[in-house]
Order: sequence, then C-alpha cells, then structure tokens
Amino acid sequence: MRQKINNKQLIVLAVIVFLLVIMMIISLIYIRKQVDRTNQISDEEYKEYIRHYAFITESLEDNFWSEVYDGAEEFGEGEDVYLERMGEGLDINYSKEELLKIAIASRVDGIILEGDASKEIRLLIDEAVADGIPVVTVLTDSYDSKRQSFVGIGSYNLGREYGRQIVRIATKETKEALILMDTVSEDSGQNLIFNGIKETLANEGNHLTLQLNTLAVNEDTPYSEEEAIRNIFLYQDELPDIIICLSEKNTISAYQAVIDYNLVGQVDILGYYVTDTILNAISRNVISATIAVDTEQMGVHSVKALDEYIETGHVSDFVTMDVNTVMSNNVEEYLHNAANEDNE
Amino acid sequence: MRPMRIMSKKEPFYISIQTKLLMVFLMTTMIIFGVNIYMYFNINKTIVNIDKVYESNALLNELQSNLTQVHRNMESFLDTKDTDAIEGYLRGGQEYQNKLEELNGDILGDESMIVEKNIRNMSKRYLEITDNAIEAKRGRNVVKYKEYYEDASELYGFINSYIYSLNKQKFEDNSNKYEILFSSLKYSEIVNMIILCMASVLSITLIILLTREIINPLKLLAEAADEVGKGTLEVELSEGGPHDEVGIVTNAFNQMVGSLKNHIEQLKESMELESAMKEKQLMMETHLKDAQLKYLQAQINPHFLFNTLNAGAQLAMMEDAEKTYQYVQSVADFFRYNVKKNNDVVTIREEIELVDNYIYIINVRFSGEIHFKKSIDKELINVQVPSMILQPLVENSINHGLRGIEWENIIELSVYRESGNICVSVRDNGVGISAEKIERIMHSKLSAADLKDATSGVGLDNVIGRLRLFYDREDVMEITSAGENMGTEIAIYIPLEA
Repeated sequence: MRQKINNKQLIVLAVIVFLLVIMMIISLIYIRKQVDRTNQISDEEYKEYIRHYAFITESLEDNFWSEVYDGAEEFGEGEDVYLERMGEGLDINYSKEELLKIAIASRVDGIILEGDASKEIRLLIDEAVADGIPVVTVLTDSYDSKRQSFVGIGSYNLGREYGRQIVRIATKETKEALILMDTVSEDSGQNLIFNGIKETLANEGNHLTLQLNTLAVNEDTPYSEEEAIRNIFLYQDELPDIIICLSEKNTISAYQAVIDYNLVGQVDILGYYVTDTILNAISRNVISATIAVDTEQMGVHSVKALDEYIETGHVSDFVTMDVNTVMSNNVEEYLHNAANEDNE
Repeated sequence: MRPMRIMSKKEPFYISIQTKLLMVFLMTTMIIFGVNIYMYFNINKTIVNIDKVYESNALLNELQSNLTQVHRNMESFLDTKDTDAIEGYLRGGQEYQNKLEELNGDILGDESMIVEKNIRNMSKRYLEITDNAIEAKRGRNVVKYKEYYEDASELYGFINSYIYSLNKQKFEDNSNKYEILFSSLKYSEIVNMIILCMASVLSITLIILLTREIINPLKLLAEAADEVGKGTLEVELSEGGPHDEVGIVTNAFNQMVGSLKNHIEQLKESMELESAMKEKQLMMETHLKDAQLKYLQAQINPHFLFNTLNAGAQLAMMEDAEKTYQYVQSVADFFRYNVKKNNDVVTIREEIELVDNYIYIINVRFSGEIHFKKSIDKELINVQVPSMILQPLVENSINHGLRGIEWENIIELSVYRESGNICVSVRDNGVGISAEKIERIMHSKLSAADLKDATSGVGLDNVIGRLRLFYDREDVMEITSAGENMGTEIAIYIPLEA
C-alpha cells in the first residue's frame, strides 16, 4: 500500500519536474529570442557599401520616379552602391534645390537628379561638381550645367512620337491639340518636344488643319496642376480635341477630368508614362496612347553613368533611352506584364 | 540478534533523521533559491535592455541641443562679438564634434545609418561654415560673414530636420523594441510566477514524500507496538527498513518481540515441566503408599502362618476333630487369600468369600455372637475390584462398631447398583461414629494411636487411598452414622464401567 502511494507520487513528481523543466526551457528560449531580437536591431551587421549616391526628384510620390529609383537601387545594390532617395523619411518636404544642397553638404559620392532648366539647379549642380560630386541628370536635363551626363529620352524624339500619335488619331474635324506644359521650369526639353510635334505635324500631317496650343500648368504649388487642368474643361469656350500630357500626374488628372465631365470620346488624351490607371484608361479608350519609358533601364543607366565617371573620369554626355508607345492594340501586353509583376 | 543491531548502526548507508530532514529542506530551499536567482537574472537582463532602449534618442537629443547651443552662440557672437559667446561656441563646437564621432560615418545599408552619416557630414560642413563666419566676423568682412551665416542657418535647419526625423524614426524603432522587451518582461513575470508555483509544488511534494519516508516506518512501528500492547505477539516488521534511527528502533522492536516470544515460550516450557514433575511426585507418593501397603501386608507373615495353619489342620484331621479342622482350614484360607491375592485385582465374589471366612473365624473366636447378613445382587459379583477392600471394612465394624455392645451384633453386607455405581455397603448396629472422626478418616488424618488399633494391618485409610488411586477419583467411600449406638454404615462406590 505504502509502496503504491509512493509510486504514484513519484509519477506525479516526475510529471511536475518534467513540466517545470519544459516551462523553464520554453521561457528561456522565448526570452532569449526576445532579447536577441532586440539586440539584433541594434547590433545588426549592415552591408557596407563602397559609394553613396543621392537620388533627387521633385516629387517623392510619382510612380515614374519611384520605378526609376527602384531600378537604380536594385542595380546599385549589385555594384555596392547605396542609393539614397533624398527627402524620404524627412518630416519637412524639401524642394529639389534644398535636397541638392543637403546632398552636397552630406558629401555623397554622386547625385542622380531630375534636372530642369532653372538657374538655381544649374548653380547647385556646378557647386556639387566643384566639390567633386559628379551629377547625372535623368529624364530632363539642365542645360549649360556642369553635369557629367544626362540619361533621358531625346525630347525631340519624344515630340516626334507625340506628333505621330496626333497624326494617327486626328481627323479633319480636329481643330485643337493642347500641350500641357510646365511654366516654371524653363525646361528647354519641353520646347524640343513642342518642336518635335510641330515638325512632325508639318511633315506628316499637312492634311490636318489642327492648331497646336500650349497651356502652362504650374508644378510649384500643391494641387495647382490639377486645378489648372480642370479649368480647361470648365472655363474654355472651345474644348481641345487632343490633350497632350507631358507628365504622369497630368495624364491622370486629365483622364479623371474627362471622365468627371463626361467627355469621353470628345477629348483624346495622349498620356505620358505607364501606370495601371493609365493602361486601364487606354484599354477603355479614354486615353488614346501613352509614352512608355523603360524606367528600370533609366535607373540602371544613371547609376552606370556615375559609376563610369567615378571609375574612369569620363562618361558620355548623353545616354538615350528607348521610347515605346502604348496604344489600345498593344495595351494588353503591358497590362499582362503589370499583372505578372504584381504576381511576382 | 545483538550483532545485527550493531551492524545496522555501523551500516555505510546509515543516515540519521536529522540529516534526512536537513537534506529535504536544503533541497527544497535550493530549488526555490535557484528559481529565484534565475528569475532575478532574467528580469534584470530585460530591465537593463529596457534601460538601453532609448539611449539612442537621448544621444540625438543631446546632439540637437548641442547644435542649438553652437548656433545660438555663433549668432550671439556675430551679433555682439561677445566673448562669452565665442567661448560657448568653441566649447559647444568641441562637444558637438565629439558627439558626432559617435554617429556612423560609413555607408551602411540602413536608412538610419545613412541619415547618421549625412548628419555627420553636414555637421562637419556646418562647423566649417560657422568657423568661417566667426573668422569673417573677426576680420570684419561683413559681406562674407553674412553669407556664411545664411549658409550656416540653412544647413542648421537641414541638420535639425535630419536629427528630428532620425530621432522620430529611432523613437519608433525603440518604441517597438521597448514594447517587445516590455512584453517579454511581462511574459517573464508570468512564466516566473508559474515556475515559482511549480517549484513550490515540487518542494511541497518533496517534503511530503521524504517526510512520509521518514514517518511511515514510525507509523508502522506505532501500529505494531499497539498490536503488541493488545497482546498479539505475532507481529513482525520487515527488516531492512530505513537506515536511520527508526530502522534501529524497528530492529530493536523486532528483537524485543522476538525475545518476548522466547520468554513466554520458556515460561510455558517450565510450567509444563513443573506439572510433569508434580505428576511424578504424585506417582512417587502412590508408589510409596503401595510400598506401604506391601509392607503392611508383608507384616502378616503369611507363609509362616499358612504353613503353620496347614499343619494344624492336618493334625486336627488326624485327630478327627472336624470343627477344629474346619476352623484352621478357614483361617488358612483367609491367610492364603491374603498371600495369593496380595496385590491383584479380584472379583467381588472372592472378596465376599474372604469376608465369609473372616466372619467364620471371628465367630469361632467370639463364640458366634455376630450375625452376618448378606444381601447381594448376583449380577455384580463378578465385577473386578482391588483386593482387600471388603475385609478391612468388616474388621473395622467388628473392632470399632460392635466391640463391647450389650445387644446382638449384626453386620449387613449389601452389594447393589446405585446410579451408575456399584455400592458395597457394610453396616453394623454398633456404637456409631462421630462426624469428626468420619472427617478425619476420609482425609487420612488419623492419629498413630488410631492406626495401631488395626488388627489385620489394613486400615480404612489404606482402603480409601487404594480405591482413590485405582479409580482415580475422590468419591469412593461414604461413612454414615445415624448417631451414638445407632450403628455405622460404610459404603464403597465402585464405578460400573471399571
């Protein structure tokens, strides 16, 4: 009897000890894990890079620039280049000039910049170059600056492409084609685009009687562009038959306005850049065509240009990017690609 | 037994109860202590980590206040050329420079690290510009120092913004860290509580188990002692119990019970021996009596008498003295009986014949004054009885009851059946016998004078003794007398079965 009770108790005892040990082990592991995790945050071994480039654009939200940045960053990662998107994570929205100043003061090893024709930018580029920081402008150039290289679409070519699209969609009834331009940036690129369109129309569209107009939409204050675009539909007596947008934002604003004012079919939009919204709009025939630039390639080329300059001391002045036009006949392909990317 | 006890004390496994209890409490205390130590270190570690969480924020705050100090002092100096300000500027600048060294200066793949690097580089640039501004102020180059001041102010704004953003980001990270650590602390507390509870349960279980191990033998011992107290000696506690004091007591108890049993056994044996000895003594007494009897019988020199009497009878025959021959022959028969049946068992018939002979002799001697009457159950006369039991009774009646009486002497002999016994009664009409004397006769307390009176040598007490020995019972004879001169009856009770 006594022996029996003892055995039972021994089993109970063993179970208790076992549970205790298990509890101890679990808690030990858990706590160690917690502590290690927090320690890892502070003592993590970060990858060390050789160079630190700054990526400066006017807008931080623009999908186009985000894609260019992603492409550049991905390429830079392989080249041991850390690409910092200047202004990101800061509480103050700094202008491009200020960001450029910060980049210079931070003594980065190279700057990739969305160039423009303003004097401040040009001077700052010159200052950076004087400080030994090479500058590469992307998409839009800063003429007369000492920038090492420009990676972009030839604006004249772009203009010619737009011209060809106008010729494609215009009829004899088409009276006006409106080009939405940025007033502030005295970007000569826009002029080249305009010239490209004009020449194309003169050469290939001499059967057309349309008038080519430009409208300045401001980019310097928030929401001003959108308002300016809406104003076209609200206050102009004669609506333009074709609206040519030279930025992603303008494209979407114009598209939204056309839908809102129920003018689908009356106003044709020639867009800029490829997003899901724009692609969908093309497939619904709200936007006639858009210009697709290989953003990833653009990013890669800009990093490459800086690398080349730093390593060799010289780089070609102008790196041209391919331009593709997305229309209703090939939009499926792009949509498909986008879907695939999403899936990935 | 004794060496065993000594053995158990010297056993290598001998552990005293004190040591056992000490071990129990030490063990449980160790468990609780260990758990506590473990908990303490765990919580302490977590707390240390929690303390460190906001370290980076503190550094950034200091950095920012230093920067502000530098900037204010520079402004103040540019404003007033104040010497305190320049001192403050230089001291603050140095401190700021030192603090900057704690920031990351490499290109590391982390946003915060890059921001730190930027802050570091911008700050260096800032300090260069402020130095230039101070220098220009001293050189009274107004245009230059204004320009430097503007640049410095702008940079100051950038740096502040960067520090602020970094601080915010770090604060978020640290808050996450803090949350993790805090939750781990909470978890630790719960786990620790559980562990503590478990440890307590374990300790209690251990104490119960181990004390039971100590107390159970005691309980068994107490039960056994109780049993022994109630008189049950068939109690045996298992050997090889605990190797402690209780074990020793248990062994001692076993020995005690064992020796108790032995003692009782011995006592029994000695008692048996004693009773056997008593029996022997009794036997010896009987033999003595027997010897006494033989001796008394031997006193009547039978052979001589017999031969003499035979010769006398033959003489009487030759002389044709018929009555004399008859008488002598009777006497001879009487004594021959005594010689022949000396110690044997005889029938009642033979005993009666002897009495007949005796009466004849006595009547010759006393010229026929005794009237002898017989009333005998014929069925009983073949029952065997010890010899020489009737004649003494008759002799006793003649000698004591009838002697000297004036009236007719009558002796009645009856043999009859009475409630499972054969009753042989000899009755006289003599002087009777006192109750006191009867008592003495019955208990063999006759005085020597009484015994000497016995003429034929065999007294009543001898008859009583022999009958008692023969039949192994006390109730063999009854003597009754109705009173003085009312006669006496002596009855012998012989069991019928015998």
